[in-house]
Amino acid sequence: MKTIGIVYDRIRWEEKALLRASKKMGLDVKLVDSKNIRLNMLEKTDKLREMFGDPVIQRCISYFRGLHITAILENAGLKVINTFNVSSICGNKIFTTLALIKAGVPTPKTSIAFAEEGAYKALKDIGYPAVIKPVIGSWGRLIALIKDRASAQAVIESRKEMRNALLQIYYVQEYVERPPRDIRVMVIGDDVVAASYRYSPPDDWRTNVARGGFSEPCPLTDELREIALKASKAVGGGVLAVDCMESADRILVHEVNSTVEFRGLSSTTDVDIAKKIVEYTLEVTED
Amino acid sequence: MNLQEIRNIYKKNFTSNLKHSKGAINLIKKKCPECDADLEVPDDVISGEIISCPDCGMDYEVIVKGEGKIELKPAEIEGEDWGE
Repeated sequence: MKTIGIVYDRIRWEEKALLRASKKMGLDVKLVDSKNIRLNMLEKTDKLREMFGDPVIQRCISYFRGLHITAILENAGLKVINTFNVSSICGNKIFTTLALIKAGVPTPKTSIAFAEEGAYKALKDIGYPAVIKPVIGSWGRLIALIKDRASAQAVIESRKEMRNALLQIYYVQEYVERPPRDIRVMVIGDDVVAASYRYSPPDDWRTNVARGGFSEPCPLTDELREIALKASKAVGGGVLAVDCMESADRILVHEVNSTVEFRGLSSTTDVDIAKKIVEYTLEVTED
Repeated sequence: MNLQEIRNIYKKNFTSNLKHSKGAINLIKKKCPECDADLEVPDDVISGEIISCPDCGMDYEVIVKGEGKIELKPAEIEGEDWGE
Protein backbone atom coordinates (compact mmCIF):
# COMPACT_ATOMS: atom_id res chain seq x y z
CA MET A 1 0.00 0.00 0.00
CA LYS A 2 1.17 3.50 -0.81
CA THR A 3 1.96 5.88 2.01
CA ILE A 4 1.24 9.49 1.35
CA GLY A 5 2.73 12.21 3.54
CA ILE A 6 1.19 15.47 4.62
CA VAL A 7 3.73 17.84 6.12
CA TYR A 8 2.21 20.74 8.04
CA ASP A 9 2.72 23.27 10.78
CA ARG A 10 -0.94 23.80 11.67
CA ILE A 11 -3.89 21.56 10.96
CA ARG A 12 -6.48 23.70 9.23
CA TRP A 13 -9.72 22.67 7.59
CA GLU A 14 -7.77 21.89 4.40
CA GLU A 15 -5.32 19.48 6.03
CA LYS A 16 -8.20 17.61 7.67
CA ALA A 17 -9.95 17.39 4.30
CA LEU A 18 -6.78 15.99 2.68
CA LEU A 19 -6.37 13.49 5.50
CA ARG A 20 -9.99 12.35 5.17
CA ALA A 21 -9.73 12.04 1.39
CA SER A 22 -6.51 10.00 1.57
CA LYS A 23 -7.94 7.62 4.16
CA LYS A 24 -11.11 7.19 2.13
CA MET A 25 -8.96 6.14 -0.82
CA GLY A 26 -7.37 3.45 1.33
CA LEU A 27 -3.99 5.12 1.60
CA ASP A 28 -1.69 5.06 4.56
CA VAL A 29 -1.13 8.62 5.71
CA LYS A 30 1.82 10.08 7.55
CA LEU A 31 0.99 13.40 9.18
CA VAL A 32 4.30 15.11 9.80
CA ASP A 33 4.49 18.17 12.07
CA SER A 34 7.27 20.26 10.57
CA LYS A 35 7.92 21.89 13.92
CA ASN A 36 9.02 18.62 15.49
CA ILE A 37 11.33 17.26 12.84
CA ARG A 38 15.04 17.55 12.35
CA LEU A 39 16.55 16.37 9.14
CA ASN A 40 20.01 14.94 9.04
CA MET A 41 21.37 16.11 5.71
CA LEU A 42 23.14 12.79 5.26
CA GLU A 43 19.97 10.80 5.90
CA LYS A 44 19.35 7.93 3.53
CA THR A 45 16.35 8.22 1.22
CA ASP A 46 14.74 5.11 2.74
CA LYS A 47 14.77 6.68 6.16
CA LEU A 48 13.14 9.85 4.84
CA ARG A 49 10.51 7.76 3.05
CA GLU A 50 9.78 5.99 6.29
CA MET A 51 9.39 9.33 8.04
CA PHE A 52 7.39 11.20 5.42
CA GLY A 53 5.85 8.65 3.09
CA ASP A 54 6.25 9.23 -0.65
CA PRO A 55 4.70 11.23 -2.34
CA VAL A 56 4.45 14.12 0.10
CA ILE A 57 1.91 16.93 0.05
CA GLN A 58 3.64 20.01 1.44
CA ARG A 59 1.17 22.14 3.40
CA CYS A 60 3.25 24.38 5.69
CA ILE A 61 1.77 27.82 6.29
CA SER A 62 5.27 29.21 6.68
CA TYR A 63 6.60 29.73 3.16
CA PHE A 64 10.29 29.41 3.99
CA ARG A 65 9.75 26.36 6.18
CA GLY A 66 7.79 24.56 3.47
CA LEU A 67 10.20 25.57 0.74
CA HIS A 68 13.30 24.33 2.55
CA ILE A 69 11.70 21.06 3.60
CA THR A 70 10.76 20.54 -0.05
CA ALA A 71 14.35 21.21 -1.12
CA ILE A 72 15.66 18.54 1.24
CA LEU A 73 13.02 15.91 0.36
CA GLU A 74 13.29 16.48 -3.39
CA ASN A 75 17.04 16.34 -3.23
CA ALA A 76 16.78 12.92 -1.57
CA GLY A 77 14.53 11.70 -4.37
CA LEU A 78 11.10 11.99 -2.75
CA LYS A 79 8.24 13.43 -4.77
CA VAL A 80 6.73 16.57 -3.32
CA ILE A 81 3.62 18.47 -4.38
CA ASN A 82 4.07 21.29 -5.11
CA THR A 83 7.62 21.04 -6.37
CA PHE A 84 10.42 23.25 -5.11
CA ASN A 85 10.49 25.32 -8.31
CA VAL A 86 6.76 25.95 -8.32
CA SER A 87 6.66 26.85 -4.61
CA SER A 88 9.64 29.11 -5.00
CA ILE A 89 8.06 31.06 -7.87
CA CYS A 90 4.59 31.29 -6.33
CA GLY A 91 5.88 32.46 -2.95
CA ASN A 92 7.61 35.43 -4.52
CA LYS A 93 5.54 38.09 -6.28
CA ILE A 94 8.37 39.25 -8.55
CA PHE A 95 9.18 35.72 -9.71
CA THR A 96 5.46 35.11 -10.31
CA THR A 97 5.02 38.32 -12.31
CA LEU A 98 8.09 37.48 -14.41
CA ALA A 99 6.73 34.00 -15.16
CA LEU A 100 3.29 35.37 -16.06
CA ILE A 101 4.70 38.02 -18.40
CA LYS A 102 7.00 35.49 -20.07
CA ALA A 103 4.04 33.21 -20.76
CA GLY A 104 1.92 36.06 -22.10
CA VAL A 105 -0.61 35.98 -19.24
CA PRO A 106 -2.27 39.39 -18.76
CA THR A 107 -1.16 40.80 -15.41
CA PRO A 108 -1.43 44.28 -13.82
CA LYS A 109 1.28 46.83 -14.66
CA THR A 110 4.08 46.40 -12.16
CA SER A 111 7.26 48.30 -11.40
CA ILE A 112 9.98 47.18 -8.99
CA ALA A 113 12.40 49.27 -6.93
CA PHE A 114 15.08 48.48 -4.39
CA ALA A 115 15.26 51.59 -2.23
CA GLU A 116 13.29 54.68 -1.29
CA GLU A 117 14.49 56.79 -4.25
CA GLY A 118 13.52 54.12 -6.74
CA ALA A 119 10.20 53.50 -5.00
CA TYR A 120 9.00 57.06 -5.70
CA LYS A 121 10.07 56.68 -9.33
CA ALA A 122 8.20 53.39 -9.59
CA LEU A 123 5.09 55.04 -8.15
CA LYS A 124 5.41 57.83 -10.70
CA ASP A 125 5.64 55.22 -13.48
CA ILE A 126 2.52 53.42 -12.33
CA GLY A 127 0.60 56.53 -11.29
CA TYR A 128 -1.78 57.00 -8.33
CA PRO A 129 -3.67 55.14 -7.01
CA ALA A 130 -1.13 52.32 -6.81
CA VAL A 131 -0.64 49.30 -4.61
CA ILE A 132 2.57 48.41 -2.78
CA LYS A 133 2.90 44.75 -1.85
CA PRO A 134 5.55 42.81 0.05
CA VAL A 135 7.48 40.54 -2.33
CA ILE A 136 6.99 37.64 0.05
CA GLY A 137 3.97 37.42 2.30
CA SER A 138 0.30 36.78 1.99
CA TRP A 139 -3.17 36.98 3.47
CA GLY A 140 -3.08 40.59 2.32
CA ARG A 141 -0.72 41.65 5.08
CA LEU A 142 1.14 44.94 4.60
CA ILE A 143 -0.46 45.48 1.23
CA ALA A 144 -1.02 49.21 0.96
CA LEU A 145 -3.25 51.19 -1.33
CA ILE A 146 -1.39 54.40 -2.12
CA LYS A 147 -3.59 57.27 -3.20
CA ASP A 148 -1.08 60.11 -3.25
CA ARG A 149 2.48 61.13 -2.55
CA ALA A 150 1.77 61.75 1.14
CA SER A 151 0.51 58.22 1.77
CA ALA A 152 3.44 56.87 -0.28
CA GLN A 153 5.80 58.67 2.05
CA ALA A 154 4.10 57.20 5.11
CA VAL A 155 4.36 53.65 3.79
CA ILE A 156 7.90 53.93 2.48
CA GLU A 157 9.19 55.52 5.68
CA SER A 158 7.60 52.89 7.89
CA ARG A 159 8.98 50.14 5.69
CA LYS A 160 12.46 51.60 6.11
CA GLU A 161 11.99 51.58 9.88
CA MET A 162 11.00 47.93 9.86
CA ARG A 163 14.58 46.92 9.02
CA ASN A 164 13.46 43.90 7.09
CA ALA A 165 15.51 43.22 3.96
CA LEU A 166 12.50 41.95 1.99
CA LEU A 167 10.51 45.08 2.78
CA GLN A 168 13.21 47.19 1.12
CA ILE A 169 12.14 45.68 -2.18
CA TYR A 170 9.22 47.68 -3.54
CA TYR A 171 6.69 45.85 -5.67
CA VAL A 172 4.50 48.60 -7.02
CA GLN A 173 1.42 47.69 -8.99
CA GLU A 174 -1.36 49.61 -10.71
CA TYR A 175 -4.62 49.67 -8.76
CA VAL A 176 -7.11 47.89 -10.98
CA GLU A 177 -10.63 49.32 -10.97
CA ARG A 178 -12.80 46.29 -10.36
CA PRO A 179 -15.96 45.12 -8.60
CA PRO A 180 -15.38 44.55 -4.83
CA ARG A 181 -14.21 41.04 -5.53
CA ASP A 182 -11.59 38.94 -7.24
CA ILE A 183 -11.82 35.49 -8.76
CA ARG A 184 -10.02 32.44 -7.46
CA VAL A 185 -9.61 29.59 -9.95
CA MET A 186 -8.39 26.25 -8.71
CA VAL A 187 -6.22 24.36 -11.16
CA ILE A 188 -4.99 20.83 -10.48
CA GLY A 189 -2.61 19.65 -13.18
CA ASP A 190 -4.43 20.21 -16.50
CA ASP A 191 -7.79 20.27 -14.79
CA VAL A 192 -9.45 23.62 -14.13
CA VAL A 193 -11.51 22.46 -11.19
CA ALA A 194 -13.66 25.31 -9.90
CA ALA A 195 -13.82 29.04 -9.43
CA SER A 196 -15.22 31.36 -6.80
CA TYR A 197 -15.64 35.07 -6.35
CA ARG A 198 -13.98 36.41 -3.24
CA TYR A 199 -15.63 39.54 -1.92
CA SER A 200 -13.77 41.99 0.26
CA PRO A 201 -15.22 42.40 3.76
CA PRO A 202 -16.94 45.71 4.59
CA ASP A 203 -14.39 48.47 5.28
CA ASP A 204 -11.57 46.75 3.43
CA TRP A 205 -10.59 46.81 -0.23
CA ARG A 206 -8.64 43.54 -0.06
CA THR A 207 -10.45 40.33 -0.87
CA ASN A 208 -8.43 37.77 1.11
CA VAL A 209 -10.61 35.27 2.94
CA ALA A 210 -8.02 35.46 5.73
CA ARG A 211 -9.02 39.14 6.12
CA GLY A 212 -12.71 38.33 6.49
CA GLY A 213 -13.55 38.19 2.80
CA PHE A 214 -16.08 35.59 1.70
CA SER A 215 -16.61 33.32 -1.29
CA GLU A 216 -19.50 33.00 -3.73
CA PRO A 217 -19.85 30.66 -6.72
CA CYS A 218 -18.35 31.91 -9.97
CA PRO A 219 -19.15 30.39 -13.37
CA LEU A 220 -16.13 28.91 -15.14
CA THR A 221 -16.16 30.64 -18.50
CA ASP A 222 -13.91 29.59 -21.37
CA GLU A 223 -11.90 32.78 -20.97
CA LEU A 224 -11.36 32.05 -17.28
CA ARG A 225 -10.41 28.44 -17.95
CA GLU A 226 -7.91 29.37 -20.58
CA ILE A 227 -6.27 32.13 -18.60
CA ALA A 228 -6.07 30.07 -15.38
CA LEU A 229 -4.52 27.10 -17.15
CA LYS A 230 -2.01 29.34 -18.88
CA ALA A 231 -1.09 31.01 -15.59
CA SER A 232 -0.67 27.70 -13.80
CA LYS A 233 1.56 26.36 -16.58
CA ALA A 234 3.55 29.61 -16.47
CA VAL A 235 4.68 28.88 -12.89
CA GLY A 236 5.32 25.19 -13.59
CA GLY A 237 1.94 23.58 -12.90
CA GLY A 238 0.66 21.58 -9.94
CA VAL A 239 -1.99 22.21 -7.30
CA LEU A 240 -2.53 25.92 -7.68
CA ALA A 241 -5.00 28.73 -7.09
CA VAL A 242 -4.91 31.43 -9.72
CA ASP A 243 -6.21 34.77 -8.45
CA CYS A 244 -7.65 37.08 -11.10
CA MET A 245 -9.24 40.51 -11.25
CA GLU A 246 -11.94 41.76 -13.57
CA SER A 247 -10.64 44.99 -15.06
CA ALA A 248 -12.93 47.00 -17.34
CA ASP A 249 -11.95 45.14 -20.50
CA ARG A 250 -10.28 41.89 -19.54
CA ILE A 251 -9.21 39.47 -16.85
CA LEU A 252 -5.85 40.05 -15.19
CA VAL A 253 -3.95 37.49 -13.13
CA HIS A 254 -2.23 39.00 -10.10
CA GLU A 255 -1.17 35.98 -8.11
CA VAL A 256 -0.76 32.21 -8.22
CA ASN A 257 -0.85 30.42 -4.86
CA SER A 258 0.97 27.16 -4.24
CA THR A 259 -0.17 26.15 -0.74
CA VAL A 260 -3.80 26.62 -1.54
CA GLU A 261 -6.44 27.35 1.06
CA PHE A 262 -9.60 25.94 -0.50
CA ARG A 263 -12.12 26.09 2.29
CA GLY A 264 -13.84 29.17 0.88
CA LEU A 265 -13.88 27.75 -2.61
CA SER A 266 -15.20 24.40 -1.36
CA SER A 267 -18.22 26.13 0.14
CA THR A 268 -19.25 27.21 -3.36
CA THR A 269 -18.84 23.96 -5.30
CA ASP A 270 -19.73 20.28 -5.15
CA VAL A 271 -16.31 19.29 -6.43
CA ASP A 272 -14.31 17.35 -3.84
CA ILE A 273 -11.13 19.40 -4.12
CA ALA A 274 -9.19 17.47 -1.46
CA LYS A 275 -9.86 14.19 -3.26
CA LYS A 276 -8.72 15.68 -6.55
CA ILE A 277 -5.50 16.92 -4.96
CA VAL A 278 -4.71 13.47 -3.55
CA GLU A 279 -5.54 11.78 -6.86
CA TYR A 280 -3.33 14.20 -8.76
CA THR A 281 -0.48 13.72 -6.29
CA LEU A 282 -0.61 9.96 -6.78
CA GLU A 283 -0.92 10.27 -10.54
CA VAL A 284 2.02 12.58 -11.20
CA THR A 285 4.29 10.84 -8.79
CA GLU A 286 3.72 7.37 -10.22
CA ASP A 287 6.99 5.83 -11.32
CA MET B 1 -23.16 43.24 -11.86
CA ASN B 2 -25.40 45.90 -10.31
CA LEU B 3 -25.28 47.48 -6.90
CA GLN B 4 -28.37 45.66 -5.64
CA GLU B 5 -26.80 42.26 -6.37
CA ILE B 6 -23.70 43.27 -4.45
CA ARG B 7 -25.84 44.50 -1.54
CA ASN B 8 -27.75 41.21 -1.43
CA ILE B 9 -24.56 39.21 -1.33
CA TYR B 10 -23.23 41.31 1.56
CA LYS B 11 -26.53 41.03 3.40
CA LYS B 12 -26.56 37.27 3.07
CA ASN B 13 -23.02 36.91 4.36
CA PHE B 14 -23.06 39.36 7.21
CA THR B 15 -26.51 39.09 8.77
CA SER B 16 -26.71 35.35 9.28
CA ASN B 17 -25.29 33.86 12.45
CA LEU B 18 -22.47 31.38 12.38
CA LYS B 19 -23.81 27.93 11.75
CA HIS B 20 -22.90 25.36 14.33
CA SER B 21 -22.83 21.75 13.33
CA LYS B 22 -25.01 19.58 15.53
CA GLY B 23 -23.30 16.22 15.28
CA ALA B 24 -23.02 13.69 18.06
CA ILE B 25 -19.60 14.90 19.08
CA ASN B 26 -18.40 14.59 22.64
CA LEU B 27 -16.51 17.44 24.15
CA ILE B 28 -13.30 17.36 26.12
CA LYS B 29 -13.30 19.98 28.85
CA LYS B 30 -10.16 21.97 29.56
CA LYS B 31 -9.28 25.15 31.39
CA CYS B 32 -7.58 27.96 29.50
CA PRO B 33 -3.99 27.98 30.84
CA GLU B 34 -3.91 31.76 30.47
CA CYS B 35 -7.21 32.95 31.99
CA ASP B 36 -8.80 29.80 33.45
CA ALA B 37 -11.94 30.06 31.29
CA ASP B 38 -13.70 26.82 30.33
CA LEU B 39 -12.68 25.42 26.96
CA GLU B 40 -14.56 22.71 25.14
CA VAL B 41 -12.73 20.75 22.47
CA PRO B 42 -14.51 18.21 20.23
CA ASP B 43 -13.12 14.71 20.86
CA ASP B 44 -12.40 14.13 17.16
CA VAL B 45 -9.71 16.80 17.35
CA ILE B 46 -6.32 15.89 15.90
CA SER B 47 -2.85 17.04 16.93
CA GLY B 48 -1.89 20.28 15.26
CA GLU B 49 -5.33 21.86 15.31
CA ILE B 50 -5.66 25.31 16.78
CA ILE B 51 -8.31 26.35 19.29
CA SER B 52 -8.92 29.84 20.61
CA CYS B 53 -10.06 30.75 24.09
CA PRO B 54 -13.42 32.53 23.76
CA ASP B 55 -12.60 34.70 26.77
CA CYS B 56 -9.03 35.89 26.40
CA GLY B 57 -8.50 35.06 22.71
CA MET B 58 -5.30 33.11 23.30
CA ASP B 59 -4.58 30.49 20.59
CA TYR B 60 -3.52 26.98 21.55
CA GLU B 61 -2.24 24.07 19.53
CA VAL B 62 -3.83 20.79 20.56
CA ILE B 63 -1.68 17.75 21.25
CA VAL B 64 -3.69 14.55 21.48
CA LYS B 65 -2.40 12.27 24.22
CA GLY B 66 -4.90 9.46 23.63
CA GLU B 67 -7.81 8.15 25.72
CA GLY B 68 -9.70 11.43 25.47
CA LYS B 69 -6.77 13.35 26.91
CA ILE B 70 -5.31 16.39 25.26
CA GLU B 71 -2.62 18.90 26.04
CA LEU B 72 -2.62 22.55 25.03
CA LYS B 73 0.46 24.49 24.10
CA PRO B 74 0.55 28.14 23.06
CA ALA B 75 0.26 28.27 19.27
CA GLU B 76 3.17 29.49 17.24
CA ILE B 77 2.96 33.20 16.52
CA GLU B 78 2.07 34.09 12.96
CA GLY B 79 5.23 34.70 10.94
CA GLU B 80 5.70 37.27 8.23
CA ASP B 81 6.12 34.52 5.62
CA TRP B 82 2.83 32.88 6.57
CA GLY B 83 0.00 32.40 4.16
CA GLU B 84 -0.85 30.76 0.93
